[in-house]
Amino acid sequence: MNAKKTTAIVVPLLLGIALIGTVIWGARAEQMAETYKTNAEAMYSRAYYELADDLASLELSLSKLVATNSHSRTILLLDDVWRYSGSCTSLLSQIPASHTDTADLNSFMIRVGDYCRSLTKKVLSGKPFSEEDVSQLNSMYKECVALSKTVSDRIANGDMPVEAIVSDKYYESSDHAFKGSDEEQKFPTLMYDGPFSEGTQKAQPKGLTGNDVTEDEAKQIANEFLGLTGFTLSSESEGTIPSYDFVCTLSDGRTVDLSVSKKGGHVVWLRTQALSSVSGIPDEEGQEHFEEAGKAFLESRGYKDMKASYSQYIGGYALINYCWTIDDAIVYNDLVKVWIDRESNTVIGFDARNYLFSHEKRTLDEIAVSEEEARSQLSSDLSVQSHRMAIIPITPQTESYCHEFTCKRGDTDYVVYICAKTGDELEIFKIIHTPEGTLAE
Amino acid sequence: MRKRVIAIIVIAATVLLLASSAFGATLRYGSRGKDVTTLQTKLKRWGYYSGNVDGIFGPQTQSAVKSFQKKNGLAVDGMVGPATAKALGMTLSGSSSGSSSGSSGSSGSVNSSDLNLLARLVYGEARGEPYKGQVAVAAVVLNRVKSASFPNSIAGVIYQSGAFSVVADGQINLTPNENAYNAARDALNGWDPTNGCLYYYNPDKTSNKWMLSKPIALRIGKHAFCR
Repeated sequence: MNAKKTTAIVVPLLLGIALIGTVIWGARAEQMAETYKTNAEAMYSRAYYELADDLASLELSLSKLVATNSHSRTILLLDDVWRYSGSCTSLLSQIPASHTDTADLNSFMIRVGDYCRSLTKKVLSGKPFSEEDVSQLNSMYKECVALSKTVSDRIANGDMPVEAIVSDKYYESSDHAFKGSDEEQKFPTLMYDGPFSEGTQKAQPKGLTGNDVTEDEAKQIANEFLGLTGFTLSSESEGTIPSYDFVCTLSDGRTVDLSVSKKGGHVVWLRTQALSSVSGIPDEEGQEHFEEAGKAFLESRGYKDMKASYSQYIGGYALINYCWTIDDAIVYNDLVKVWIDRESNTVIGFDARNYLFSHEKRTLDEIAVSEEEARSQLSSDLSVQSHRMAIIPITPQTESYCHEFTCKRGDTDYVVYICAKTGDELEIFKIIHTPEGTLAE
Repeated sequence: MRKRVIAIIVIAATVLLLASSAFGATLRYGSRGKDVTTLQTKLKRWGYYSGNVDGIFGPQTQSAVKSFQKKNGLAVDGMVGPATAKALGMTLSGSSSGSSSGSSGSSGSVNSSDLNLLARLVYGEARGEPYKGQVAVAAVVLNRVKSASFPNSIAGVIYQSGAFSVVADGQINLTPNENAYNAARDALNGWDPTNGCLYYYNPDKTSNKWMLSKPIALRIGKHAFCR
């Protein structure tokens, strides 16, 4: 009798406690989730308010840019526009919005900054704005006025995006899309030469010469390139260089991927795993050994006059950059990369995309500025270690023939480029020594 | 009669146990599982715990947690809640088993935090894919950085709200393996098996019309790539 009564009390009591415990836990969890949600919404709102601020500043700078007549004020304002557009682009990436809603605005924003940067370089080199520049600046200004209004209106209407974007919504259009203000709701197209300009994004490969090849011919090329016989087609890719992608399995089980361009049957890239696991930078003799091996490989595959520039030594392989040379001048854009296994000395990787995009016949200009004159243009802090001629990219569509000076300033190494025509210092890179090789930035 | 009593007690005990495991976000005496294993591994590495790493939160684990809390100025309660977890560098949800601390063996190369982030994305998105497919995922990120219609930095592209599901579900915080690092590195060195693609998706998992209307440039493994 007692046992029954005890049970009748104890069991419901235990269940009751369990229930209360669960409810308390649930309430706490809900509260924590609420806190996180509010925090996230606060961050999104902050980004949106800042975007409104920076768009207003951008609009203001552009309004002065189209009105000023002062050379130095123009440069300062162009710089302001570049800075604000960079900030707007960064803020745009922090705002939860679908890609389809923001892609056009993102492109326009980046190009506004990119274009003004190129105008700064133009003005600094003494060239005036062209008529097209003036007209484009005006249309940029008009567009930014409209954008600034759109964003501040949305804030005023409490219409800010504060919901995180989940999965497929990233590719769905909403009525919050940012559209341009012309009849077709597009943003103005800006014609200029810069890394993000439409011209650059749609560039066609210049070095892709020759006739189209069939799949069988391409397979033959793939097999001959490495002296194998087992390549089979894995896919056809229609990217910037339409190509046949082949794959082959080696006797030790490694897969080799190799891509042959449809036009001209050029091997675009190939890759397989390294067997070696040696790491660390080899001594000079070792480096030369790999550079020679890579150069020999390239020559036998039709890439003549290539010279090794920068290299990295990681993960059992040597990754060496080779650039085309003309009359001893090194042409950095015409770049082929070769990966060499450090123990077997075989080529395990190859990438000719840069070369295929950029290679064309070039004629060198007369050197108007001698090496001595060029040297005198360098900062007096620098001590010159070596010199050679080089062709370097100035914009995505222009290059310049230069004196290349490798210099030291205290412990730091630099590479400075002085134009062979005008004597202007066009570019300066810092050489970065890492445990895996050198890079220049 | 007695059978009924026993049955009721068993039910009550089960409910209690379930309720206490619903407190799952906190590790405490009696907790079990991967999170406890991670906890014990860390505490052992740092010298607080000398028992077995067996995934069972017993008295030794509890006293190790207390020592850690004491040493680090936390409330000494022997339980691993959000504050203690943070100090340990752990996340306590079921989905992630790694901490998001930076890679320890990283090279002195300039982009090591970019390399790290890219590797984590590759691991989260494509770890079961063929190597070329892993490089392709990293290449898509880099192509987006170069494109005008996406953010201008690797972190900006990866963390853009809604762009990659592994960011939303926390898988990006898992520790990547050697393959993922190599794939990220190859992509950073310029290898682009996709030839300029900006989008990819798994045809078996997507029903989004916009994505499906895009012409496919190529397929690798489970992913279709579009320009």
